[in-house]
Amino acid sequence: MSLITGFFVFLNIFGFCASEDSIIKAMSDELKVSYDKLKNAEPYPLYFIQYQTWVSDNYSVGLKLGAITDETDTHQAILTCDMRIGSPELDSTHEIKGSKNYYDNSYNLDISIIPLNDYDAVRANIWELTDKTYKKTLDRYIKIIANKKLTAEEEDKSGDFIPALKPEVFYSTVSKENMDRDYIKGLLKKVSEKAKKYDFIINSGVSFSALNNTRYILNTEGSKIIEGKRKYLIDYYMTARTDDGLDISRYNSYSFEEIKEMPDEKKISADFEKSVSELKNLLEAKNLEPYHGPAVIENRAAAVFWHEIFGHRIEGHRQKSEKEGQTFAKKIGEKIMPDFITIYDDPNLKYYKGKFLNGHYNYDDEAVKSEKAVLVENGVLKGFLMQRVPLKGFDKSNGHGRRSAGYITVSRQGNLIMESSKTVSYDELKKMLIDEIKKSKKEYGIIIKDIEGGYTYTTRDMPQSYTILIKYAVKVYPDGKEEPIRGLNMIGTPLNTFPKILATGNDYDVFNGSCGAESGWVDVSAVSPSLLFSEIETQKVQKSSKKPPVLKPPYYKK
Amino acid sequence: MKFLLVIILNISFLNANDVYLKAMKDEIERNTKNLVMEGFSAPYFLAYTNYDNDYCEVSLSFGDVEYKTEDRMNVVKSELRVGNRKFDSSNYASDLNKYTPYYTYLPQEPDYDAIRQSLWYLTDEAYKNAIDLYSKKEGYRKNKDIKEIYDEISDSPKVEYFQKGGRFKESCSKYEKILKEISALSKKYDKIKSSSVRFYHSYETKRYANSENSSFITSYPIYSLSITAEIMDKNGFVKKTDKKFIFDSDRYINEALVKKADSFLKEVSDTYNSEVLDYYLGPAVFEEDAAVEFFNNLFVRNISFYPPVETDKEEYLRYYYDVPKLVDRIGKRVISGFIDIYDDPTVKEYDGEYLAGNYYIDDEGVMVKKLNLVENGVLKNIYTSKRPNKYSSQSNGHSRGGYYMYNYPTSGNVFINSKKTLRYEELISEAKKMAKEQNMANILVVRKLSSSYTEDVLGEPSVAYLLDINTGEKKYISDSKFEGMGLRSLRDIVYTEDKKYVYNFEQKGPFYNSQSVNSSIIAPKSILINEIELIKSDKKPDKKPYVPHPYFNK
Repeated sequence: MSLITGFFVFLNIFGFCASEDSIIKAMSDELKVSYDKLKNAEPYPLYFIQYQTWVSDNYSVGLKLGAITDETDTHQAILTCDMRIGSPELDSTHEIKGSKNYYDNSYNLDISIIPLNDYDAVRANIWELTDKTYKKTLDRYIKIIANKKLTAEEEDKSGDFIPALKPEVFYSTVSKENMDRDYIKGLLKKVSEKAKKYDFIINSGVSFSALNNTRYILNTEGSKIIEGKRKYLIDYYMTARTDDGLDISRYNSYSFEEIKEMPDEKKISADFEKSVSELKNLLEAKNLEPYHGPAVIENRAAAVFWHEIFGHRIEGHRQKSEKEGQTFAKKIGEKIMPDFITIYDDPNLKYYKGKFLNGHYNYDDEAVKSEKAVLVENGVLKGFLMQRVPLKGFDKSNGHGRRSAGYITVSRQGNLIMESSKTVSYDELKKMLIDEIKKSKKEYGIIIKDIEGGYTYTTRDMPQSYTILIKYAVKVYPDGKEEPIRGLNMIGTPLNTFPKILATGNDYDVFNGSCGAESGWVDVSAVSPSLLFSEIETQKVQKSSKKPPVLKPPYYKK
Repeated sequence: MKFLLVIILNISFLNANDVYLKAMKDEIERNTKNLVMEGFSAPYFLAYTNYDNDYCEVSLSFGDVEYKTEDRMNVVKSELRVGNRKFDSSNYASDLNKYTPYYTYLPQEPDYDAIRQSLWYLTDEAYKNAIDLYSKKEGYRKNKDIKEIYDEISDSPKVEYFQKGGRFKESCSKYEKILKEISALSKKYDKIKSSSVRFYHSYETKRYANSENSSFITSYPIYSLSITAEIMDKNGFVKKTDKKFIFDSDRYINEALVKKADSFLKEVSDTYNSEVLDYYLGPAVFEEDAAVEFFNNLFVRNISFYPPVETDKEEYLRYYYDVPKLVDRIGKRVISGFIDIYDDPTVKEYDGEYLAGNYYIDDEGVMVKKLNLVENGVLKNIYTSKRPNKYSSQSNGHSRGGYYMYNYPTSGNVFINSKKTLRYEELISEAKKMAKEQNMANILVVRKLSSSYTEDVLGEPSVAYLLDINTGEKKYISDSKFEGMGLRSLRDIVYTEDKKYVYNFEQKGPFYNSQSVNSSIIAPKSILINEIELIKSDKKPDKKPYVPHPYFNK
């Protein structure tokens, strides 16, 4: 059965609505025609085409001090085309080594914003993008052939692509829920106007967004994936500036999948007031001098820690690229962290211990079913996050090829989950921290309560260290007294940091967010309990040189 | 001497009822009194301009909607000066890449406290930046021996001007049927590789208040339609050409507009059979869009944007700023002697057509009136703002800006009149006669110029053809460029057509990344230039599509 015949059967089964029908039929027809005409159009064979369309239907509203600042509805479809010329052993996606031209190894692809209904219009757009992509792909493949001849033999000769063993077919869309927009705006109004009470808040805002996205993937292997996703986000922020020019902020967010799961005003208001109190604490806090010593990273912050420090380094493509530091490339089977730690990434999970996971998906952006990828088992490195690019010793994708529109797919995290077999309650963990402080004869230890994010350098041309951006932390004295601190980032290298984890809490929490990397922005989650470290290191943060505003906010003293 | 000018066009929209304007005035008062850092003085001048746009937008291609949105953009920019009228922090760029005013977003709801919060923080940032710029400008001036020093800002009468306000009434959905019809026109032309249609409708309310007690509110609707068509001609040269229509009313969105769009696409399609031109030297006729683009690029922009910003990176200024080249020729002949030019933004229509450059008060609160620019080919005036310069100490009401662009003096409605006119057929005959005298077989007809920001003042011909003087056959030409086409060409106009052509367009500001302001040129529909030199472009042709267009290959 040909690819196209199979596809029409598929259409009949699911009965698409008019706009889906146009998009899918146009993608399918153009795929067939383009592949037929292009596969042998030049001496270099085209062996793979994939079209992917992201259709999004989004609503967002933001308020400041009780007034609406923005309110938008958008509906659009974006198309990307992937092509491979050559063969799975060596194709047009291969890294061009030693090039000083940034564009030679760019992760960007051309996109087209396509119409939503008219078959001819959709198809004309796809045709134009296909021609543009083919010419660029051909140009790149010719460069690669020359580059292979000019450069030294590669260590990893595992090839460039893992062909699918069978076509994948999947259909799952989500319906758009009815929302009471007035109720939502009313809730946001009540929360946002609380900021008026505080003269030290320079800026603040509360926002709500509802996102309904559907991905349509068709490729020349016969795979057809249509997967929808719905998510809601409420978040707020508030900023202030210290007398010495440090911009400080507090941020909080709530992700959920169904409108009935939306937190109520009482909950958000209580959190908002708590954040205000933390912001005030930060204003009054002292800057921390560079520190090394024992510390606890609390659960949600620890989840970000794993995402940044471990998750990114375990992405498959980083083990292959000769520009990368390949921290873990040859450590499979080796112990890299304490044996009570197990880490896996499972995008199939939608909830973890009843908490929504934003990183959930069924199929990745290479039409591969997502699988649980065991990365560390009892402290021993077991595997990587894999896309359809083979690695030495790994010739199967585990469905982690991800991207946003306009980027080449690379392996990315979905739901990164760290589990521990050595857990204690949070209170017990804090007692253990105090013991460590005393044991190390330090004046104090640190509890990191909130992390904004971080960055980790993984390429060889940079020091392969990480920096964790700490938003809220306290000093803990041996008598248990806590004192807020500010102006610090956690730094280090992964191989040196993981062995210093002494124990974990039993207080698993989820961080939901969006992660930006080479292949664009993707939804992710990370799960972790609180972590106790025998030692961490911090450095001072960069700060602005600006003074706080000269005048008080106008509404504060009218 | 200061005067008070009060114009209230609709009492239902008094400034007292406008929460935004009240918040702006109150925050101006508070900041000019109290915003003082130790060792510095408070701002001596503070103005806010609020651009409050309700808008909808639709993009279409090949007869279907690609994207549509309905939103409101409410932005305020500040103009804050520290120092005094003789020397202040303004008009100095320490970094030419970042020479933009401070602006911020205002709430969409007219909430007094939230508006003032935004203004408060914006002003604080602008004040600190102004102090920094003041010291840098002082250092720059001390290192230079500048003989001609002018005041920083001129006095002007206090103005209060309140125009009837309005809000967005019709969503773009109302126009979708006709927009789809326009976009579907490309299905008639198999030579057009791709095309897109973008429709934009807004109701723009502008609020202004300054520390000299001037304030105004203007409010008007805008409708614009842009059509872009890309063609790869038979030689493989890709050309992207666009056409823009700007209106103040949807009465212009009708079948006549469809016909105009169709004739634009037809002409683009006709350029498929272009021939590669090696060289041309001879007479040229610039028609319609090309005629007005000729006047705009060579004349209007060269009497705008003066004086340029001061910077100690003077050697880089020309790469960032469109420095006008005609300003020092006041009193001298700059264009053929039979041409008169004036600018009158107060005119709203010409021959039934809307003029996009219509306004009554400029962005510094100066009322505008008719301005004579050229009489008998001699330059009489240039555009000025409230920034005094060598040629003028007063504004002539042409200061125009945007929320991320400072105000610069530039055009409104430019009227170009000629005393040496011919009917179109006579003009072409005259051109043919000139060609014959030079033993040329063709005359060059330029229909459209590219609008790229390049060193070339004129741009390149994007739609042009050679007209055989004997057979009348048209041969469109592939990529080519003018050689040595400078300001001199203004004096090489020998005849103009007796009919007028109205051209509404977006006049880009002086910086390479500037915003634009709506403007109009009402010029002779065709002009004859006695000599033009055209050479082959350096561009190489592209490979044709591997797969034929799916629609035209059914």
